[in-house]
Amino acid sequence: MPKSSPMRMVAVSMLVALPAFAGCASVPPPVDQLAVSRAAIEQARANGALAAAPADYERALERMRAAEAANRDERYRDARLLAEEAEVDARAALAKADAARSRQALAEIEKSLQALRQEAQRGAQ
Amino acid sequence: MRTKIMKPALAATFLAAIAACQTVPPQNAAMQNARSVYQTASANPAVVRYAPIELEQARTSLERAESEYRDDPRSEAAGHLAYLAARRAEVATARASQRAADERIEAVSAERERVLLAARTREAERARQQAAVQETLAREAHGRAQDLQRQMQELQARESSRGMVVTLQDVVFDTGSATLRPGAYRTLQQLATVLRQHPERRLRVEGFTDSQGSEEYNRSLSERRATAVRDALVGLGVAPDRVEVRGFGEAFPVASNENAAGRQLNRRVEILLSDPSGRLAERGM
Repeated sequence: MPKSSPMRMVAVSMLVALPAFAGCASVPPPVDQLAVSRAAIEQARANGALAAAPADYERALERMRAAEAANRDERYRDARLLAEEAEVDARAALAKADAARSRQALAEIEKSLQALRQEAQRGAQ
Repeated sequence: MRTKIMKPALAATFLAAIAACQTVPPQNAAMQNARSVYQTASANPAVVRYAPIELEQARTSLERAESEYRDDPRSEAAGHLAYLAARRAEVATARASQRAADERIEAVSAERERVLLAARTREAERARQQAAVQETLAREAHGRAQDLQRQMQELQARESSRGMVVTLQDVVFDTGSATLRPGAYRTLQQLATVLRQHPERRLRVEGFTDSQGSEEYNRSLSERRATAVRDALVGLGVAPDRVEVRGFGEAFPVASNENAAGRQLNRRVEILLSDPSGRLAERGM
């Protein structure tokens, strides 16, 4: 088994395997899912995901591009699945960015409290 | 031998497996990864506590993936669902980390407020105590000033532009001499008491004569009389450096020198009380 990430393998294998399902006329364009995924990516971007979780964010962008390409090609099932994956990538990026921000705020306020305590001790002498 | 005759379904599967190997491998890696990420998240008490909903979403996704996988290990739907499950488990872990930190921020913030409040209270208490001390000092000073005022009034001092002045008349000295008569001592004793009770104050003793006789003689007599008063005060316990001496002779008459009564009034000793810092005002020349 080559040492590429399992997730990448899944994505690539999907892109290779899926043409078998192309042209399935009963699958509608995943308009809603594409919109949801775009919104999730934008939310991640707006909350600092690019800096806090760059790998996850980049993956979301890649998948979104692939989803839109599939959509243009009328490969609607591919497009929906890729968009779903882009959405969870974006949500993971957002969650990690939020967690990083909260941890940072906690570190700062703990430092502030410690400084105050030292100040108070000095004052009491 | 039964084993040599493969069942058609098995054969088809076997062939399909060989054919499919080059295109869609079994979703083993994806499933294992999803299970592992979910297992880690669900075993984390913080995730269970702070992100139960997100964890449940991940579990549901994993169940759907497992179901697809059981039906067909090669179905890309299984791989896709496994990917979603793994990512959702990551979301649960990150959300738990965020919420745990947020809760801790609340607690630390509250503690910070307490420490600040305690410090401010101490500060306010210190300020209050200082103010109380200041007030006590001010009251004491005021009380002492009132005592002094009363004592000076008993000495029949008058307020002048330079401060309080006690006047010793000519009668306290023997005629034409600088010898103090015993009658002066009551006043001088009171003055000595004032100086003892108000150590911040000082005195200037100023001697004056009438215009009879030479200026030189009068200046000398007036200075000798002032000195006699100073010496008497020193004898009563006053430190010498607290009493100044001046002889002004005929200068600064307070009455006419044309008659005896006026001349007697001019023959006097004036004792000036300093301000609270010990300063004595000079006469305007």
